[in-house]
Amino acid sequence: MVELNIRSDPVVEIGGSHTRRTLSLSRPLVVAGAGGHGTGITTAVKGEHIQQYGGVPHNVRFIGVDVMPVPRTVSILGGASVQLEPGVEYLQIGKDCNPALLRQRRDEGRLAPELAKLVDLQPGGHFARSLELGSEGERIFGVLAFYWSRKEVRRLVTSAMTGIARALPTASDGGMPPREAPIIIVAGSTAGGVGSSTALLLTAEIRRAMRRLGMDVDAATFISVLALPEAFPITRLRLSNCLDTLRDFETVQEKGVLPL
Amino acid sequence: MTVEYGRFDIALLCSPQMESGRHLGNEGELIGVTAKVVFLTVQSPIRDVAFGETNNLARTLSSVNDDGSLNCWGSAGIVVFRFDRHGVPHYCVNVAGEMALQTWAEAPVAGNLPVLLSDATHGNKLNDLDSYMGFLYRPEQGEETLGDFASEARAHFRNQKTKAKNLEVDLERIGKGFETRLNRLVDGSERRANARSRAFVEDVSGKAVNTLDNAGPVPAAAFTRMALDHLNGLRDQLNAQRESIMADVSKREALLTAAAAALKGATSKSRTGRLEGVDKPLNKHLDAAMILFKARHGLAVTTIALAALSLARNQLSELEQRIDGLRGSMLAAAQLCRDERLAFESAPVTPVTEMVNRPIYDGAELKELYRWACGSHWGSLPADAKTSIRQRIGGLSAWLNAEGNEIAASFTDACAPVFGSLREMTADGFIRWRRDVLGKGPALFLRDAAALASLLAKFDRTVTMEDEYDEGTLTILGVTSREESVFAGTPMTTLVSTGDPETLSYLVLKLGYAANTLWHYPEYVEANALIRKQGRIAHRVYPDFPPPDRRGGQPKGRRPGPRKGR
Repeated sequence: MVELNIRSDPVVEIGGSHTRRTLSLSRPLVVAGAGGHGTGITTAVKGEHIQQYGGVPHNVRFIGVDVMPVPRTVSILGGASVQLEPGVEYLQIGKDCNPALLRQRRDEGRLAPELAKLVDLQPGGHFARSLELGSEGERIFGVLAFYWSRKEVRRLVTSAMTGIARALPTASDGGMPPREAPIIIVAGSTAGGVGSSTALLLTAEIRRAMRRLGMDVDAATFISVLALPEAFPITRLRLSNCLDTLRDFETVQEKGVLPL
Repeated sequence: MTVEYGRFDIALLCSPQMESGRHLGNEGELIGVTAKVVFLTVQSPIRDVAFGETNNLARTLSSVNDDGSLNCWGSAGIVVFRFDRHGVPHYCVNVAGEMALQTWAEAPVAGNLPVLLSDATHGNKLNDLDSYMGFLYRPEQGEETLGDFASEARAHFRNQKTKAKNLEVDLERIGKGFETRLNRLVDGSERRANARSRAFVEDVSGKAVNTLDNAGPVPAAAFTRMALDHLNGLRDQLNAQRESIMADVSKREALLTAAAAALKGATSKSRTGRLEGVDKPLNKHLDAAMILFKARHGLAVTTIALAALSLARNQLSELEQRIDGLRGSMLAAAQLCRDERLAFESAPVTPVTEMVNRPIYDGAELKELYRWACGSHWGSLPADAKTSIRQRIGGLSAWLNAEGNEIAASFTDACAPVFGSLREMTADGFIRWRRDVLGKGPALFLRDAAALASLLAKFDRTVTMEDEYDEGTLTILGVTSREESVFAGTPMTTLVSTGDPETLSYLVLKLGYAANTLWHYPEYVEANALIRKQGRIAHRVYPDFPPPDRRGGQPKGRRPGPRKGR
């Protein structure tokens, strides 16, 4: 028996109660957070997904990088706590990075050139303490930590983007952009030391991983979420960081590149 | 050294400063609000509608009351920059309020819902980040906040009734744009449904034609009929589904109307900045709108599928009629062939055929020729001959629009090579074949020909029955080629090459009296009586033979005697 297969393509469906949605994302989503505020936003978005869906959809990935060894915890409705999974979603950058090791490797020529340049560019002219104690609002520490753990960051990002590249969309209304084009959201704070300095670097790593995986970078939608310094007690350092971050941001938007 | 970062399509700058002047308590609260923005942004169709294609995101999000005031709910301030392809920031939106964030994320679905716009969105483009930073950190005013900025914007907008009206127009245009998008969506569904119906018809037609070529028109017609029955079943299902969806649409419209009324009531109360009273009706309204949209789309798609189904049915019905027509044409062709054979077998013997065009073979010889040519008995066909004829005919689909006589002609053309040896056989060759195969020599043929001669010839022969004719008889036999003829060496016969491969001309000339000398012989009278008894008339058998009643009489026309008037 010959069968006529006429069916309507599913459109975006939002049904059920207003607190529980059954929508399935048609485009993959990657939420990447840099720094304490950025990883907090990423974790909260993960919490929103868990709260709304009861879990994380198959084509949604979360990435968080920060100098802190333990990822941030966010409470969701019902009292449960959500956290990025260490090693899979969260990476501590700058681990084991201390001044003595940095200088030793630089002197031995085992340090990447871009990282070697940063060793003597720290506040006060010397690198005096371990990054595991945090950046204390210094942007250069964030950059240093990022470059120190660049291989691990690339491994984490590539792993997450590989999963996205393999994820198949489940819905389309026929008029959307290419379904495999993901939405990339990069979150961070303009006031802090890590997020403000590594958010753009993390974006660059995501673009690089997408290109290496054969994904269409131009079709993807990149959204930045940056918190203004009003979110924190105002200090001169935070205002300075914000101005620098927005300046970097403006340069990137105008030219697409950023002089290091 | 430079690093390629790439540009962002959308940038969100988040501030905990609320429109109402209140400040979010801490960073953690801002994280929650921001996460909600991100979640709703990526969950909502607006990410494709507004972010992807709408030029002015700010106006998409605007809502103005009739008196020109702007709707606004207080919560965290969010500044949105919209960048073009070159990374230039064009718009700045201060989306005020948690509810507004939700509205922003689902505005195209929910309709015109309240969002506060900053000054920059109202025509004064924010050209670069310096302007924004100028708003944020004006040195003479100390640490400016977004809340002050938004308050100024709100106060400014309340006096801009004209511009507010323009915004309403824009909102209406955006609503039409969304309707246009919906229509495109439906058009796309129509194209897909039509493409699928075409594919189905092509598939079924291809299989039917394949069946026709391999098995004949009857199975092909049955196959097409089966497909049509299947389509009829689908049509019934779709009709039932359409009725069901129509009822559902009516029900959902009523629900949406109720939800809109509830939302309107809650919205008027929410001007105080409290969110709890509005959240639930807004969500209900959004859900009702989405479900209604889905139901309407399903109804449109079902209608389109029905139309495509109807088209497919019409095309298959036409194919079925053509196959039925082919059955009739093939029956007519078979009847034509049958009639042709019967006409040959029962061809009436006329005097002319007896005398000048009599076939040189009889029915038994014809059947023997058939067996010799194709290797099978009369009325049957060997399998290999059948296969070769079938291959020459090719697919029966070539006959779909042919008439019966065309089919018969192409059929006989396809059969011709099987009897090619007969087509090439000359009349002389037939006598040779008869001698070789049947053992009947050419002399026997001539004797039979003389024996089968017409009555007149027999009668003529009786005239000279005294064996006086040897000297007075001249026998001429016209053959294709006298040098190659099987009749070569026949005594007392003169062979003449005629070049005609199909005819043997046998002529016996009697040297004697003229025909009318026979009249006074009594045998002639008897012969004439015999002819009349057979229902014939002698002078019609042989036009130059005068009737007996005119023998020796005066010609009619004038009575004997002197002419009058002389």
